[in-house]
Amino acid sequence: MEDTALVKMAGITKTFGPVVALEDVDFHVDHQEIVGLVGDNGAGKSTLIKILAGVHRADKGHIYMDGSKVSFSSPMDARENGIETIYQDLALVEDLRIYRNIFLAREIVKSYLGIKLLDDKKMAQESVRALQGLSIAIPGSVRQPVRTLSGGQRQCVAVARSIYFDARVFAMDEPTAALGVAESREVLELIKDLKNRGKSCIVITHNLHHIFSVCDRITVLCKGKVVGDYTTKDTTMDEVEDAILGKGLMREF
Amino acid sequence: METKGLKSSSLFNRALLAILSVRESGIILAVIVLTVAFTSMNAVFITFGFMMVILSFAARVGVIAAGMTLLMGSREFDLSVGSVFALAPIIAYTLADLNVNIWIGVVLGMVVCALCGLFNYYVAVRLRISSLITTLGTMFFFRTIDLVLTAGGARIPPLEEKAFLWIFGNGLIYGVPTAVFWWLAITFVCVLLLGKTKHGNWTLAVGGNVDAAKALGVNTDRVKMKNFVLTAVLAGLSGLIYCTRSGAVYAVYGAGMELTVVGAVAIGGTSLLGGSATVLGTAIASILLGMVYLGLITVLPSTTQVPAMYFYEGGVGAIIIGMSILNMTLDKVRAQRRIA
Repeated sequence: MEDTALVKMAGITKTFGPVVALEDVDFHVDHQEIVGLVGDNGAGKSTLIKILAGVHRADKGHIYMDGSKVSFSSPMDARENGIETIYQDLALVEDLRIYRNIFLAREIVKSYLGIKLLDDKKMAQESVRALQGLSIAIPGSVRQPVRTLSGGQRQCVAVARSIYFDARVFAMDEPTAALGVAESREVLELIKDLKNRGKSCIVITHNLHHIFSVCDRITVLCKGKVVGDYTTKDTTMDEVEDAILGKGLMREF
Repeated sequence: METKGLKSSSLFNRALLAILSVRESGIILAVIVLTVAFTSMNAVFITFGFMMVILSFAARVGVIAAGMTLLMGSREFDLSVGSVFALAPIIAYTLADLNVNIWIGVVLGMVVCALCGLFNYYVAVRLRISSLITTLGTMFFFRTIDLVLTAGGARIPPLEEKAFLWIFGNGLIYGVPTAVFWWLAITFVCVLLLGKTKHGNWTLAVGGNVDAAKALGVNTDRVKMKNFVLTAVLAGLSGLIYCTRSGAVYAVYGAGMELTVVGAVAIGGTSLLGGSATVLGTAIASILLGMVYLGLITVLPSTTQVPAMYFYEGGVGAIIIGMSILNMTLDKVRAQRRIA
């Protein structure tokens, strides 16, 4: 297979007790590519992403970035390698201010007589910078708590956090699940934005319309195995749907 | 409901917005109302001496409550603080009786308190037993240690250690007891700790959304551990200050105090569900409790059968419920006006 892939996961197997969540899964994302990861509930999408994010460790298989082998033992490891995961619940803390959320676990500190205190001013300024130029605007101050934001705006905060810390791959778990039509569209624009900035994305969603409107390629998981890998412009929703349901023929690729 | 009427006057409206945007506005309002009410009934209430009595009371509760605020911010409780309160002075004085230097005794007492906090952490967080249950258990357990070490009686601080007595006990600076300075210093440190350090940011993140904090790489267990230890050490410190000042520690000292402390934290505006906390609110709430305690004594008739201090607990109960209603109402108004 191509060694040009930004991220390559090869032969990934993961079991939870007697349950085989993933079996010999190959998955890759190229530079500046948006890949849709689809499959029915329990197909193993989230498990695959969590392995990439360093939350779970694979029993078997390897992860490569730009052709060299990497291994993630914690979410921090994955993030240091430029892989940012934006979870379904967005990993935001409701009562924390926007900029405190953006810098959570990576706070900027300033030393006063050897005592390290948070540099709120700097973090707020940097947050404004990170949010600028994204297709969703956040009204008001970055000092307001996340609680006051809409679903799309939250998505934007989560994305801004990842951009600021130089993520190269954005793994988004159900980015549109809880959103209305207009907000979903905004988030899809946001994903295209990321591609235009040279980033790559993995998008997990049940909504095939969303997948078809943004993804360059679609990988289908069924019962822990890859059952299809389609270039979006060469396939149809019916074909992908059949694959999700396990009706499609196993493709050779 | 009341917001409609307020829209007519924009100046009043702006003033209200400014007041509401201060998180502690509810509790400050309560302090003002009570001060006016008690003073109008008995002018002794605003004399310097009486204020010092109130602040000394506030210090005893407030030193522990400052730590408890962080702990509750990270969504954990500690009901064992009352038993740990007595433990530090018991250890320090007992060792002094055995001719161990009092400062070594103080340090050892603090270390034991820290270990109590560590034990609470281990059972509550590592063994995943609800901290309410865990510390309910250790509250009884640590009390037994108090009883055994004192043989059910009292221990006296070493009266020849003048420096020790001054620092922890009877010292005055411009007429203000050292206990008050301890409390102010600890409140200041805890305000910074919660509001301006990584640990504080993580504390609120852990309390607000533990999965998010974990996913972003916060060591959530360690954050809770630090808060359990902090709370226990401050409980011990408060005990050491109070008992040295009052001249003895009895095995039952501090019993029932845990609920006053949790009450102070809740009254101050810290969420019982974690994620939102204010050390400043807790400090003001501690003053409020002192005002209720001593205020009731000064204004209520006292008889031998029913001394006025009996009404204190009723007063605390009223304040806890009343402040919760007030804070909730203010939060609703804030939400309507989108004031964070």
